[in-house]
Amino acid sequence: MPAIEIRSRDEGHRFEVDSGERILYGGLRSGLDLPYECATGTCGSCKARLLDGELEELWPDAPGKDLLKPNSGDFLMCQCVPKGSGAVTAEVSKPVARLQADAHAPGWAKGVVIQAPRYLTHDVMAVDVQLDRPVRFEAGQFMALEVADVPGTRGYSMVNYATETDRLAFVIKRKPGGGVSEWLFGGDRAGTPVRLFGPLGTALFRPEMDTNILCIAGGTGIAGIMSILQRACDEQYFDNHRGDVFFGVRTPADAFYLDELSTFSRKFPQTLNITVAFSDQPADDAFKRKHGGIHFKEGFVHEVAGTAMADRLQGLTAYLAGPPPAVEASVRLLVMSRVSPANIRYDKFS
Amino acid sequence: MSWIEVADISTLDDKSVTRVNAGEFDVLVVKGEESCAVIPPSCPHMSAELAEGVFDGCVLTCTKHLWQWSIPDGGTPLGVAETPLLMYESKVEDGILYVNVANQLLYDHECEEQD
Repeated sequence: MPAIEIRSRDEGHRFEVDSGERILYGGLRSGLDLPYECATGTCGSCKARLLDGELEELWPDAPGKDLLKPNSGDFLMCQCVPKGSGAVTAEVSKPVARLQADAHAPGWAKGVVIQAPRYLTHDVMAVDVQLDRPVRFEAGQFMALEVADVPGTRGYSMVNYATETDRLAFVIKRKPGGGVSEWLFGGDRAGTPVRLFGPLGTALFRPEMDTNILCIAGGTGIAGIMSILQRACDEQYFDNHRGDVFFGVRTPADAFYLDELSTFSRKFPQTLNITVAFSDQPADDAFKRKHGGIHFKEGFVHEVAGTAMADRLQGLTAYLAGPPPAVEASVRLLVMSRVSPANIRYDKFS
Repeated sequence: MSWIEVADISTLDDKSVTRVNAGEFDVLVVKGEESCAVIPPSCPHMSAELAEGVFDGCVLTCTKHLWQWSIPDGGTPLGVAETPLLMYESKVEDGILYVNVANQLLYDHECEEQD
């Protein structure tokens, strides 16, 4: 197996990767807390510089490469594998530590897609995967998903939560040109084998945090928030904490998980507030009546959240998820309101 | 010394971050209520556009990974930020902001690019 050495701040960290395994995944699997965010080629956070050895690039057009200096030996650890069985030595500028003892170490799992297409809206699909072994993850984390014969790896947040489970639920938005997404929308994929690497991501929720929580999600960014709400409700977190959830979509026809959100809010009517914001078209009265327990507003989700939360932003933990411009807008809202960055959690996918 | 005029400060909002041209390259004017700082346009972390950042009059925040710096303290890193900001020498005369552009300021990771 190819031997890898990652140097950081005068320290060398050695591990082995399987044949064809991405250097980032091999390193994370060995228990190293290597720098990454999206783990799938778009953000550029797992940049390293090659010192010795040869690499093969899996996605030469990865958007995250925009941040690399040409001809410097810079590469993305999530998109490179050692050439043949040769050793590779590389350097990262960020400090590298061992994963924290209480973190769930990422690893590989095999799974199969377990049902025919289940559409939540015209362009959002629920996909459940049965794994060959139980996995543990934190609410808010994601998995990198690969399908044989479909190029590329995509990150999807778990929607469900259990301390240990062999079944994971995801939501997937149709993205024209997106390899895994296009494939899933292309027909009945029940029974198809997939491979997953994870859990990944740092925007996680644990009840020990003991703060009020604010969630601002756009579109399928609600996935990880559902997992957070599931865990928080299961553990009666809202008995003594407040939760404010803002879920933004364009029109009522683009909304999903409303029944599930209603169920959550009805369990904690005094402390858990759930608002769905429509940016392009408001909900009519019949729609509102059908989904009791949820507030409906018009406008961009970060604006709706900003107005509703104006004097209540301090001391809480904020979770942001969704399309990058929506996350960016929410970050600006919170930073301008002087919320400490330590209390703002999101994983960058671009 | 190579001073160049970059902005009429009456046109800049307080607590704003504005990218302006300074001859051979662009700089960022970080405008507080009483003073201006002039810095390179990209974040020392991962080269994000700092013009997209948020400035509250004291702390500048890059909205990409929430690195923060104290502008009155000369760009000292705060919180998770690991690298101080570089600052251009600047002065205001008759309401006009001038920057000393004798040398373009670059962060370590940008330097090789320029070789």
